[in-house]
Amino acid sequence: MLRTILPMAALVAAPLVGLAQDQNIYMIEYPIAFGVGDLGEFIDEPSFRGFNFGYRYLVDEEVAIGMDIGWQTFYEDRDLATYTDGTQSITGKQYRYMNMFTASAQVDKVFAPGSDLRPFVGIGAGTSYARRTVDMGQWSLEKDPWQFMLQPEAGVSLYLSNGNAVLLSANYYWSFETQQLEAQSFLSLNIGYAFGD
Amino acid sequence: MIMLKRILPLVLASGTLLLSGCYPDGPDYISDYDLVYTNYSPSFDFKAARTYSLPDSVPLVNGNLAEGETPDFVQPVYGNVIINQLRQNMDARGWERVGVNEDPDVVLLPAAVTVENVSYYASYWGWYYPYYGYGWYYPGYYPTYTSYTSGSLILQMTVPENVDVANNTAVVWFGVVNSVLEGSSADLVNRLETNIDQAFTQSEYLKH
Repeated sequence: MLRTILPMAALVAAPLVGLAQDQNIYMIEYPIAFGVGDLGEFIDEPSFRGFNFGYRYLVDEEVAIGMDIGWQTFYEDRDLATYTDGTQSITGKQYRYMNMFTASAQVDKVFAPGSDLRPFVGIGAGTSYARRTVDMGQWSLEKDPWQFMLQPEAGVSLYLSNGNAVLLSANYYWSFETQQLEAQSFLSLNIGYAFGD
Repeated sequence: MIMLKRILPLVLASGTLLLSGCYPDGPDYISDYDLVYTNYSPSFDFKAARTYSLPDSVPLVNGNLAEGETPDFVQPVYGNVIINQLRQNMDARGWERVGVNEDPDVVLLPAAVTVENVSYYASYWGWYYPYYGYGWYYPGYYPTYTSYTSGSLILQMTVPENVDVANNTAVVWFGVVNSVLEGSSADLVNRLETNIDQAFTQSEYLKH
């Protein structure tokens, strides 16, 4: 965990130029994610492994457009268990992995422009690439679909005296069902840092 | 652009740390690789079958046998463990062991496989039960666990009476114990016993 947090802490502490009047905003976030629906049933452990990068262009003080890319990996080792399908049963330890790579175009509505505390809500659309693996014994089963994805988000920007901002936000990633894999969803709670040029 | 020059190394550094430092684990012990697979014929009445026969040794399937040849066998240190464990499990479930010539209801055939993608024909069993024909058929199911990589124990419960027109014998229960064949002899024996027990535990229909 420390290895994850330290680079983030270094970034947050870095003296960067002001954001208040910037039109280009760059964001880096550390997400903690929770699988929902089919993904939550597949792996019910939360994920502490991931990162997000974002870019926003401020169209005006209240509207931002841009894009997000992210990576989140979920993992769980199941205890020795028996899985039955019809007349077949198989017993073993399962190691389950889910990697989600996401990319989306986003549009955000910013509230209370000019104040230190600026809430925002947004929605995005894009794609996700999943690598879903079940290792059991000496076998490995993998599915790796590209899925259409919607990504609503909500959060708040806490502006610092140097003009940059700390971000607290929640994202919901909703990847649509394909032939290969059901709909995959997860919720992430993020802490991040935003700066402009 | 100046900003980007400052940001990029930080982004790359943090990304590299995240990718290298936090990748999830996998198996820790050899036994974590053990798998036990079973399948059965839904049309066979296991309750009606009472007697079984079991060979005294376990053939090692390591190629195709010419007719009349005797196969290689698993070393007795492991073969005896396999036979004893099968017998204990069958006996504990109300089956009665009889000789192969005493008209058993079912014949339980264990075989060990240590190579990949073997051909597994009934000819292996000519040394034990000369009446076996050309191969097997699986009434009402098919064993989908078809890749027998190194270190599999294959268990087949056959019904000598159920022979199809092609002279294949019915396999009404099918099991595979798959392991990585590493570790001490005591460890292997221990895992064999545990996994054979598991094959029966997950096959409740074998109980009388």
